[in-house]
Amino acid sequence: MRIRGAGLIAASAVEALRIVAQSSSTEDKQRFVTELSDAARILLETRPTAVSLPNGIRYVMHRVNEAKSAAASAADIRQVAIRAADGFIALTKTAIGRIGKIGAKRIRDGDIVLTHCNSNAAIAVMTTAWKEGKRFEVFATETRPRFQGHLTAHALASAGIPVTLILDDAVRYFIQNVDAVLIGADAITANGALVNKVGTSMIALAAHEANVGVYVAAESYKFSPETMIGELVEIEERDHSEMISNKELKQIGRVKVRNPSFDVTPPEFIDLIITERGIIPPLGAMLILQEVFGVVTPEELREYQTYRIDEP
Amino acid sequence: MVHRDILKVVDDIRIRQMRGGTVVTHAALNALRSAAVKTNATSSKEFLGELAENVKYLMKIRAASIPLSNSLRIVSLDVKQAASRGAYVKELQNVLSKSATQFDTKLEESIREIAEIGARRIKVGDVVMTHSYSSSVIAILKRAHQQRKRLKVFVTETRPELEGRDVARELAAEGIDVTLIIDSAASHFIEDSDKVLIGAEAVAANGAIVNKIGTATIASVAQRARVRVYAAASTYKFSPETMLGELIDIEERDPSNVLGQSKLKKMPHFSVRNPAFDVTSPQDIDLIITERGVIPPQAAIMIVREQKGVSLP
Repeated sequence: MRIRGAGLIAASAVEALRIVAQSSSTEDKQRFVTELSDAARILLETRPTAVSLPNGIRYVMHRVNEAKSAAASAADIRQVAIRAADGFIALTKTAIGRIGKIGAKRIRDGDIVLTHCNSNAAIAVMTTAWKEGKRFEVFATETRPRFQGHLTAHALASAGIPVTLILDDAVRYFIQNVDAVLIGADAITANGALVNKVGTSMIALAAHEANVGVYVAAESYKFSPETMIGELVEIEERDHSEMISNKELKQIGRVKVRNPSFDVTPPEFIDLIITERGIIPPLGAMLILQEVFGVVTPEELREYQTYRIDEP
Repeated sequence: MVHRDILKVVDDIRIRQMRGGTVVTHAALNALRSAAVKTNATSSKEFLGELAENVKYLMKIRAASIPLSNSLRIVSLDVKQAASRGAYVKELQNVLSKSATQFDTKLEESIREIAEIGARRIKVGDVVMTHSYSSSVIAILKRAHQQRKRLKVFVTETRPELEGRDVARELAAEGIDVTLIIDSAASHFIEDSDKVLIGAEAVAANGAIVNKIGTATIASVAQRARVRVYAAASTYKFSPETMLGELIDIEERDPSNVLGQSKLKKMPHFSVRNPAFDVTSPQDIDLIITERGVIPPQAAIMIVREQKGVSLP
């Protein structure tokens, strides 16, 4: 439930922030903002994973701080906080659907679309296009180590879309026949690079070399500002048991096993990013960060912890 | 009538107990030898007929196995030549046995040579990435390790048959520092690598390499990262067919290797495709290490032209 999880996790945290705002009784606006900031900090610590949670907090606090600078009263700031929280929660519920509608326009009749891993945003684009009457087929990579591609193939086939399952390794073999690569995102960095399930960058490279468009479906809260000040997104390495059982490992002998969950695709290999606010080129990531989360200065960034991209 | 031993070896190979083109060739030649020894043929014509049937059946094993087709072509030629000189069955058996053994020996020797030549290319402390199972690559890595080059190896598991695990096991048994990764993680670790070393099922006349699916991807990832790609292939892997303009047939294998029988049954509403090999273009290959020395891919045509037994139109 990783992808739905991203929105839900953020929504839950923002819900908690909303409750703090609602239940605060102080008339002093500085005190109010401090209460909220403290709550924000605690929330960030509970689950310092997933790009979406800090973004949710950021969404609210940015608007709160703006109101404070504009010399609004405590009561007004409270309203701003509550409205912002409601706005963000609503966003998490509607973003995927909106991305589906916007992205569906990019799929043409007769297209062969290739996808990787299991992204609800990417699936939404394809099922929406199909419902709108577009007729196309999909190649889904199995996606080692956990074979999440099976879930995708199943979801698409259930919607009536013709799907062929292939090995991750076979992408380059089939890429000449593919019209578009459509994938989700675990995170998008400030310079427009994509952090996504391991294997993504190889697929994007193959597509780039074959002149096949690479489209990324990503909700705005997937955009990660931390990289703006040069901090690298930490790539999580997970337990070898996802790849190989202890018994099988023993049969091989003394070898190390490494299992990075994600890889980074540079912006040059990405053609466009489909967000619920519209389609942007990868270099437009900064715009999203500024418009939605108000991230501008390193100082504002310092308020929030750095975090890793993680799989729940 | 195809001999029982031939049927058995093809079966064995089919259930994937055999890894790599060289291993398959050894097994096939073995079966051919033993079938010849057990022949009931009473005339050279009958013997030739049996040979032709056995060879035809063996050729079905893997369309892309060039050392196999090269070996079978050479052995057939030797036996035919002996028959045309008037040899009887007993002599034909000997000729076959000798020819097959000679090819075997040459194949073994070529791997030892490749190991020596290839190991020279490995520097102390090198980190090498490899894909699929290749007898030549394993020989090179073992030799380099023996020479105390202190190398480290990234081994891709190589879906769907996961023969990378066999590679890992063999290298680890020698004490080599091995890290097993999934195929998709190649680009993540390419920056930590000094070279990519791969085998070849076949080398085409233009220097393209046919190898396990996923090879072309890793080669292109390496090129982009400016990491050298070396292919290790004995001259028996060089394919005469491509010189005449024939594209090498890429075999599509059983979809249940990808999805598993029970899952396939449960989810019949999507299809599965399982091409076993892909083609790495010569631009993505820096060097080919053969038993006759190191050549650039552009020189492959010279080796292909020399292949014995090729009858040009």
